[in-house]
Amino acid sequence: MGLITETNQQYYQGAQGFSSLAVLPTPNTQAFTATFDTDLIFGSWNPADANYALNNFKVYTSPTGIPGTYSEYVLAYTVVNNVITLTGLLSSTKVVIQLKVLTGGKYGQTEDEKAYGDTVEDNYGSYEYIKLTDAIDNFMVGYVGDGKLIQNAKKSDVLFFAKRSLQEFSYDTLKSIHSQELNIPASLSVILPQDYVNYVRVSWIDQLGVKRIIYPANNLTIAPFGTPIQDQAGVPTQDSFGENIEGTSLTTERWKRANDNLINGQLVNNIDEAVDFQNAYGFEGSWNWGRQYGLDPQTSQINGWFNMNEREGKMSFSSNLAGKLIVLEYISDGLAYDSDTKVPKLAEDALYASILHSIISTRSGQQEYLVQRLQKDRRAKLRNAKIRLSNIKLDEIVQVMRGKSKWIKH
Amino acid sequence: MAVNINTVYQTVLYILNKEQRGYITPAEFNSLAAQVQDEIFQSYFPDGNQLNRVNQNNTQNDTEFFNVYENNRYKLYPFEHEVSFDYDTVYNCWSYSPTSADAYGGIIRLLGSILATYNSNVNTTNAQVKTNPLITSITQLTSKSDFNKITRSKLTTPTQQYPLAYQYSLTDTLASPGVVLNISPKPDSLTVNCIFEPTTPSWNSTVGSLGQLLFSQNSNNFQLDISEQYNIIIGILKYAGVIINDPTIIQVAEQEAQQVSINEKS
Repeated sequence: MGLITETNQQYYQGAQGFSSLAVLPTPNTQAFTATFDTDLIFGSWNPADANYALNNFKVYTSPTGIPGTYSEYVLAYTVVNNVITLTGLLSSTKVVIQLKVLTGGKYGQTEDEKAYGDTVEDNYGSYEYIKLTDAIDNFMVGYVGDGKLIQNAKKSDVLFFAKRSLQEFSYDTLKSIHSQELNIPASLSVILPQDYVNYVRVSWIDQLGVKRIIYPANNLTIAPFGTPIQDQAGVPTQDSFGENIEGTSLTTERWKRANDNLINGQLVNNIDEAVDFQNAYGFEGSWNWGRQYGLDPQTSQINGWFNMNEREGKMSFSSNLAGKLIVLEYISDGLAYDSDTKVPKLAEDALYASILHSIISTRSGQQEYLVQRLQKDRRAKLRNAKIRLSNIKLDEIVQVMRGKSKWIKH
Repeated sequence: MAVNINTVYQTVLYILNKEQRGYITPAEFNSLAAQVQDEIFQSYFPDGNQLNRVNQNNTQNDTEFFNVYENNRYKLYPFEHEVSFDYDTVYNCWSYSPTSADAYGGIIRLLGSILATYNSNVNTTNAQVKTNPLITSITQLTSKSDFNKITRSKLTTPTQQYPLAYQYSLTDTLASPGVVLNISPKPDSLTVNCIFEPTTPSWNSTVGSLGQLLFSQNSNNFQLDISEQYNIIIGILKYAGVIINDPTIIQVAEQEAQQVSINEKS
């Protein structure tokens, strides 16, 4: 049996059509079973009810099924286990369940009737992935049982190692699909995303929509974690609860006020910048930070810098980025949301190998050669998954290399 | 198919009466029958564990009828039933309340796979009602100690896909005492594959016109599989030998039983 169970109409349009019976049982009730990959979420049938917005679908009916004759079904209906039971239905009526889609679908006649949302888009491309729950069920079938390496395993153990493996894979093997488009406010700081684990790349977007990479301010500045208020003798002062009184960071304040041109090597345009630079670095003629030792490529760029403010859980940016549009690409651990807990099929075997090795290696009395074998197996499959997910295509490499002195022929 | 109690009783009497060795009354027979049935039933579990080792060592044969482990397992089928558990709102637990229709003797010996069904996700605090599809999940049965540990780890905390259960007993008595389960998260319904204790066999009689005892259809047969008839007779004879004080019967019966056991397990 094929793994795809949705029809083309269900997948592309997010719609499923039915026809009511020629003779309906009293009181004109008929149940229709939706067979989308996406489960129906039902708040209320009544558009006037606040919970109606929770629905991830709309129901339309038409006496003929001819385009343009459909209207939204606003009589009472119930939804249980993806089965919609309509009451007050006319016989031989065409019924369509439309999942919410960005275009609103083609059945609603007015803006209010259209099914606006992104339920259909959430399902696009889902065949690329396998759900973590399905992977765990597969593992229990294929790897656990009498006569196998794992004779018996608690499902909670498998669940634990599956999730841990997914976390580890998320950090360096799986594609980073998390990114946020943000505007840099006057405070020059943005809050880290809720599921943030580490950044991949931070860029500001120019007028053409091109990414300009922003680099970390590793050696230039720091956002101190503690900023205790000191007395005249330099001793931190405490409040009435015995805790140190914290002030604002002067380092951060100065960094926010800094003229980036004095750091990145941009030629100064006025005498004020020159004076500032001399005041800062103390000798004439050196326009770049670090120039006395030669140009520092790390700081010789005009895109700006960002640094992590661990104390506030924010990402701070240099002053030249104020008001700019940025895109933050970051990795999560793959477990933050239900929709995240999926594994690319290209890494499915690596996940099984990882769970198998983890379970065997943490059990007492296992032969070391077996643990080593599984470790090698895991490593090989993970490497394979990494290569697969790196998306290396021969044609694309050839295209890149055409700009070089050596051409790769294929 | 169950073992006919009248066949067993008549066979036992026939063997005992041979050479005028003795006789056991229906009451004595019924006591011995219950004892032997229980002995055989209890032996399935350690025997099954022992026979499963060939599966674990990957040395089990793949024949249709000569897989001893499967044959032993087959003998348990008369006691295996899938039953629904009910939620007790007083004690906040799941328990089995036998009804006449699905009583199966009423006493659960062991719990097998537990299927928890979740058919809705109702958020009563903000009146948002989400109707989700039916989720039927295999529930992991753990000890209370493991339950406490597993629920505390954020990676393994029980969900509708991975519910967790532990078994305990109440100091107070429910309508039907016995197995009590606590399951997290609480399902909407619960079905459990159980092994039930066998019902008590009894040879009942009516009095005939000559005052003789006639077999009554009101009797309860042995619940054990028909293949156990031989073992039941041997087992009853062993105890009958004690009652009629005949060591040779005990000896012969014990030798027979031992031979059967050796054949099965070797």
